[in-house]
Amino acid sequence: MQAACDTGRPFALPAGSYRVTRLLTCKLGNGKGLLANNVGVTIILDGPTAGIRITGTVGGADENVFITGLKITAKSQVPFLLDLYGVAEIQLTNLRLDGKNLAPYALLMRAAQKGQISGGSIYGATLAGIRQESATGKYGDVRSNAIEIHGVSLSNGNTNIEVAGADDGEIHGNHITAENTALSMTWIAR
Amino acid sequence: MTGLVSAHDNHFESNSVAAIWVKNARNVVLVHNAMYGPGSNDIVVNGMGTHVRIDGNQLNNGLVVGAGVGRVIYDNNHQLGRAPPD
Repeated sequence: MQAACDTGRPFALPAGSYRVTRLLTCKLGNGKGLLANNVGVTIILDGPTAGIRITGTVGGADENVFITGLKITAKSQVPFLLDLYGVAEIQLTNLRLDGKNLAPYALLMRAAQKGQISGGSIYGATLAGIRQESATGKYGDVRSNAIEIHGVSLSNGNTNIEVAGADDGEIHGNHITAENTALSMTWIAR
Repeated sequence: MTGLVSAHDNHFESNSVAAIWVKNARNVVLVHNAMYGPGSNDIVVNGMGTHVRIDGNQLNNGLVVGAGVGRVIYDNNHQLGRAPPD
């Protein structure tokens, strides 16, 4: 998986279950993108550092991260399921993320720009199902912006969508249930 | 930097604290959302200078605005007071 990611070329993992026991990081730079069609693929995170991280330039470039149909679940305590750090041009379609009450965050987006989370389901994060926040890079503090979240079923997170450190964004047509706070928005566009 | 975060046409249910909590944020627009509770509050707004527009929503219990909030425009909302349909 790491090798496939590092090529920067589109790939499709064969359907099946994959056990990930450490942090798997895809570093996207120099125009590399990530196009992954993963229908029927389940990644099971099992280990204290296990997670999937995709990193970009934190502003100033369009990485193009397009992921379809991937399922990620936690089997042990993990810090997150999927972390998008400083990437722009994002299309996440019909992902199934289930923290199983073992992950603070299901989808962590820091300095994430331009794109959408469309369809799919996000369950069982102990802090936030989706969290948007800022990150610091070459261009200073870059807040998440222009991320659209729609058509997603979110459930059983402490907070299901947490928007913290975002310039703008749109959240619509989602089914959001069974949590303490469904949608929390903090420090937006000060 | 100014921008807009909008939440619209979402369905909220089975939240124990609040469907939507806006803290220390500006240019937030909440429109056409359906909130079925059963938490004690549907929308909580607080933080110094927070600006929110709340329009055309269906609420179950209501809105709570904390001290120091800059502006809340609240219009055309309907308070339902019942459980969601199965």
